Amino acid sequence: MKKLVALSAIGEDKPGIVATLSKVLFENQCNLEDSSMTRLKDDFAVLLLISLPESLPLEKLRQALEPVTRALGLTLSLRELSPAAGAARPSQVLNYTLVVYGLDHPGIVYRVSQCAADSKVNITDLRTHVTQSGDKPLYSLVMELEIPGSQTVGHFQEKLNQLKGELKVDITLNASETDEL
Amino acid sequence: MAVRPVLLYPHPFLKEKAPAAPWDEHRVPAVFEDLRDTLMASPGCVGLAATQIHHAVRALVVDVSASPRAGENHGLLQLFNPVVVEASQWKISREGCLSFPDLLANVKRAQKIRVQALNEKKEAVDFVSLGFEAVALQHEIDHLDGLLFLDRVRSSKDLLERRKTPGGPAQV
Repeated sequence: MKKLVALSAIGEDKPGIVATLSKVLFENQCNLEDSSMTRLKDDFAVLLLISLPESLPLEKLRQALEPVTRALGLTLSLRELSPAAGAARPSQVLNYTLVVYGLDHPGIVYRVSQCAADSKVNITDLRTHVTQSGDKPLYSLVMELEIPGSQTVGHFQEKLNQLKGELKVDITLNASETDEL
Repeated sequence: MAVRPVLLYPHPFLKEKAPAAPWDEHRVPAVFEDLRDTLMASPGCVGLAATQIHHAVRALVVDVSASPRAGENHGLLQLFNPVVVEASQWKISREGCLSFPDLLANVKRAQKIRVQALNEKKEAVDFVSLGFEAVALQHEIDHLDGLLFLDRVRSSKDLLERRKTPGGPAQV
């Protein structure tokens, strides 16, 4: 059974971060199962889900990675995932996209994500942008969500409508579309 | 000539639906004039809805003819009470909006639509629009309903910041 490990690394952005990390993983016969990497202002953040060959203990991989992450100035974290992780998730979920935008002010992410948490709505992806709209800072946020059942959708939508007024933002909740081709 | 300032989000007027109303001879031609003048004064802009220049009138102008993405098109379209009666050939493409200067979004639109409206001479028109012109028309008709392109984003990767480079997507 393959061993799954979550790897995160973050540090000042420079050329070679992805190449250096993926070289170590390749040389140790690790597979990239999933990844998300992006630049956040001047830092580069790497999130990886990797599978290790049975013969490779996690500590060995850590020893191989540490010198290179230190040289690159990255903060590294490695964690083995339990095989049962995710088993408690509801099997039937509805996929939705939530878009929130308005004048930037503190608390938008907190209030919206708390509203989701209160409704047992799971956030699977979240991106935010702060841009200018004339001389005003505009905050926009897109969340991909898993909603447990259609009854929750209506309830969640009501709570969002209330939040919209309180936060003075615009909020749109749409079912994510899947094109079957 | 009346070039109007284009409202920027979060101006609340942009989220309001322009009411359905019959042609008003004292108002609609003047709104068309403002739309034309403002469109011409906005470089790279291929369409404008009356709500973007603070008129609560269901009128828009679209002219994609100068755009490299144009394809088959009708030149300058001036439409009052436009309605999309048929839509097909859905495709995702990247859009900008004059009311959101720094954002771009990937939005799914029909590449072929049939539109019914009155033109600037108050004549009923019924035509098929294709490709980029069809996309621009749908974007502007959305504006008349208080719907902004951000409301049509369907994935977290589909909202992007505009890089300040020349030759980016046209603004609608």
